[in-house]
Amino acid sequence: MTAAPLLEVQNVAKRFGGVQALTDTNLQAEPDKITSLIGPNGAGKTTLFNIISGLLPATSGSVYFKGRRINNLSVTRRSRMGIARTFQKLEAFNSLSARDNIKVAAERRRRRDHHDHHNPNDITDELLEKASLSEVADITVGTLPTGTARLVELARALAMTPSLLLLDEPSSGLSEEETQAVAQLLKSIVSPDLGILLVEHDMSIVMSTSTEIYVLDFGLIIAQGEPEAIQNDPMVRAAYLGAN
Amino acid sequence: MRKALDTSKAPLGKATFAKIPLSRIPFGALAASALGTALLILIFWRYWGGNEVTYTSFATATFIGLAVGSLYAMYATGLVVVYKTTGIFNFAQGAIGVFNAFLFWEFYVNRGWHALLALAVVVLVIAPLEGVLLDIAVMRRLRNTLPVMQLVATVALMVLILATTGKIWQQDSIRQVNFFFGRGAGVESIFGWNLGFKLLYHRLITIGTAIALAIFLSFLLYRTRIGTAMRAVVDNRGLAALNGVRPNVISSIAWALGSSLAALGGILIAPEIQLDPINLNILIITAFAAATFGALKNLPLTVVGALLIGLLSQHISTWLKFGSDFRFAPDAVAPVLLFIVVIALPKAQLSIGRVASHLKPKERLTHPAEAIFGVAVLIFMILVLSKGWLNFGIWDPGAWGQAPLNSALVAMGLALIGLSIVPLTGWAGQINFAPLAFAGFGAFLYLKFAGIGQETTNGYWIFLVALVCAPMGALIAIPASRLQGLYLALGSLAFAQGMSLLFFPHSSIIPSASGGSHFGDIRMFGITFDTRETFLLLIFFAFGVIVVGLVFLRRSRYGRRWVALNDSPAASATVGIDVNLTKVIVYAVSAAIAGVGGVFWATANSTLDGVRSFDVINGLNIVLLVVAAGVSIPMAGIFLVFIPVFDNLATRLEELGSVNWLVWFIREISVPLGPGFLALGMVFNPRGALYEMGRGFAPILPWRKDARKEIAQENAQKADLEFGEMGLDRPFAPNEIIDLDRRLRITDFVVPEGGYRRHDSAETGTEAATAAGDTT
Repeated sequence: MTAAPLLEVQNVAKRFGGVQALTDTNLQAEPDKITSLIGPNGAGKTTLFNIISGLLPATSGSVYFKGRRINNLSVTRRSRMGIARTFQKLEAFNSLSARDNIKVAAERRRRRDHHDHHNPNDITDELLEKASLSEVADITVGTLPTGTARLVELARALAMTPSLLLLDEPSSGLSEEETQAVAQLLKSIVSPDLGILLVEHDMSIVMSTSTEIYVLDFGLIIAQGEPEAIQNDPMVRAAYLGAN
Repeated sequence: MRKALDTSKAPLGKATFAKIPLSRIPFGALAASALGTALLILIFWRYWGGNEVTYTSFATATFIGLAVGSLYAMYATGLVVVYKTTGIFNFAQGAIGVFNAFLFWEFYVNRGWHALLALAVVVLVIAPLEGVLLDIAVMRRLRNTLPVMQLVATVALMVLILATTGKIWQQDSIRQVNFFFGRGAGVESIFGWNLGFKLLYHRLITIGTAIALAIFLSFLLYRTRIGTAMRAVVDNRGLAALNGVRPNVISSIAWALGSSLAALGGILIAPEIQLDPINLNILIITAFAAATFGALKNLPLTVVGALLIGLLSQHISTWLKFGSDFRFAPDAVAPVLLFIVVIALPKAQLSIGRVASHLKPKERLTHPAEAIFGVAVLIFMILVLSKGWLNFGIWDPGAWGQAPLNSALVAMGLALIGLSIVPLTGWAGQINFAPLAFAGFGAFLYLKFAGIGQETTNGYWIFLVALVCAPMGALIAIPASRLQGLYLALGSLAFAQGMSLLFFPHSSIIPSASGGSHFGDIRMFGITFDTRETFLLLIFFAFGVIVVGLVFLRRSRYGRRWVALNDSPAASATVGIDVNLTKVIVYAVSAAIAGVGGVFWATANSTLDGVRSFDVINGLNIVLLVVAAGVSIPMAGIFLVFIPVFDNLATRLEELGSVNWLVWFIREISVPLGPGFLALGMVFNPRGALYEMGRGFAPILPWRKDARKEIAQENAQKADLEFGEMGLDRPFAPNEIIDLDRRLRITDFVVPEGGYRRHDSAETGTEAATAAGDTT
């Protein structure tokens, strides 16, 4: 059970024309842990997410999921294998209700084992409850406030019963209380069956939830370690504050 | 940041030619050119006419081909310039050329103006004015609509302009425009070298003009300040405006330019072909094919594409003999080429961040019980009317004769075909401009299954028709599933045109012996539906079954998936939806419905004409009317009944000796121009007519408390809203605030019932919130 990490990014590089968005990036994520990826705007975090989930092809390097190289698999295949994600800019199904947003995913979810006879409706109800969305369940998501829509997106990702959850700035656009609620939710959902890779600007979430942090700057991983170590890293301070 | 700096330093002019480096030509393009060449060799080998190839005949054909190709180039470059600078693909480009060619004929031939004067007035004055008018009246409003609506709106415009042209200059006489400088004026030798054929000045000038225009346009777009502004506006209107560009002026200039180019092309081509709207229709798709050849952005490649089409059509009609079955083959060069090019296009990336669904009307799902109830009411009404049970003296089946019933039958057939558009376009957001081609295919299958020339036909074959049509639709969707909106529209249009030129006119498809193929009376459930009344009931029954089926489908996992796909393809893929497969399935369902509709439509017509019945415009009208009705509502199909109803109204009024202008208006204006007008209306009201009707009607229904509440709410909000620029001279509307909140990532506001108010401390508030707070 131990051999391969849940997610392993090996020497991934990405070029857009003349721009080197990612250079030789290495990263690992493990189940039962929240791994964070931080860095200034334009560092390449979202690009890396798109490469892991398959929306962008990598220029070079490999992405392994549970020991299997997934570079050539489609987005759909990867999600069926257990990679779920949310988007930095909301990509909810705006003309469906919150319930249907989650149900669409629940109907396509990956079954953990043969004993998984859960009804998509039950899973949907359960997640609506968990994300405290029950009250807005039948409202069209396009008319919900951003914070609520983000929760819908998160619940939708969870409905896939993923092994790896990629969260791209889940707190962006959220109020202080909502951010704390999301942090609590994240801590409560990690399990031996689920690892989270988190991109986040809000350091309070990152520092309070993560077990491992990677710092990305101009397409390069400049630091890696536990929260305390990262907080004291001079390179990281330089990248964030622009100090030398 | 770094990227922006880099590109700004790059020389702008090179971009046109350096777009596609030779080493990176995609596999699809290579495969398509190989396929095209093989197809061409096969066709030349099979249909060789046996004419001797001499230098003179070859050179003449080449020269004419180049001249005609140059004309296509003018159309197509105009199209590309407008697309590049406004982001709108103008399906009406060809139609504008046709209209202006007729206008030129009117001035030059009919009124006897000097050719140059007429040319100058049309190309330099009237056409640009038309362009500006179109921009102000229609195109600007398209900016904030769904992509599907943009496509439909310019198609509506095309249908409208063509119909108007046909109405003003009716097909009662042959209109011919002479070559400029006269038919015989030309040179036979250049620098003392004998050409062996006469080079007409007209054609020489045409070629020269096209080349000069292409160079001028490239220069304009990439080397001038105004060109840079034009390209900037399409990328980011707001940003361009902040940098001192006036976006509205720029887009008007682009439209004026595009419409002048179309006019010039139309006028110069007039002497080459007879001036009638049908002949000129061919131009339309030719321009699309050429523009697509240049990937809708590359001007030099567009010109190459246009010349290629000109040369191919000319050489094909010179050397090949197709016989009567494929008599329209020379005209099919452009649609076939367009189809091949569309298939060869590289796969579109799943796009992120283009969620436009906040523009979509709010949708309430029809409950199956409501659908069943509605259909039952409809059928009961038909029963009552057709049996004459209720007779107010207006409706008397005997007095009216059978004509109204006949057209009601045909209309219901069309309505069934129209239903095929609802899941495809209304829910999955895919476009198909070829519903009639699928319907015709269904009719053809039924004719094969049930037997040709039978008096009665076994209706159960309809199920097999549906089963065969579904994979046919899927087959079309396989190349299409890689593409997005516009290319899908172009591909389906090419498919429709190709089918109407090559497939349906073939004598073994729709046998034309003794005046067309006969569709016998359908026999089903032990009943022969041999009277019009019973057949009408059968069609309504079929309509009802499909509508109820669609309502169930929309509420099923498939319906959800289709809507999800439309909302965000990228997110759909990340929740495990197979995007391509989902598209293929919805196409298959749509094709099956269209095929079934085709059977009823054909039977209602009782005979079909392989040439006229499948005109592309007829198919477009179906799409336009369904969109006008409200494309996501299953009942929308019923809207197609309005055409024959109006037509009959005119007949009835005429019989009653009623007001002549009304009869004229209904027959000459509302019936031919109606679909175009109604669909254009979508620009102003994207929710569709049925939605509005439903909004008025729903509050009456006892179980629709929600509708009553919603109306009350909307009325309260509407009170203060005025038109104007958002946030400047009118307050933000609630949906705009939601949109802004999203973009700015503001969530400090909650949406309580009945309006918006500030949630917490004032310091996070914006002006928008204040404005909104004041209005509610």
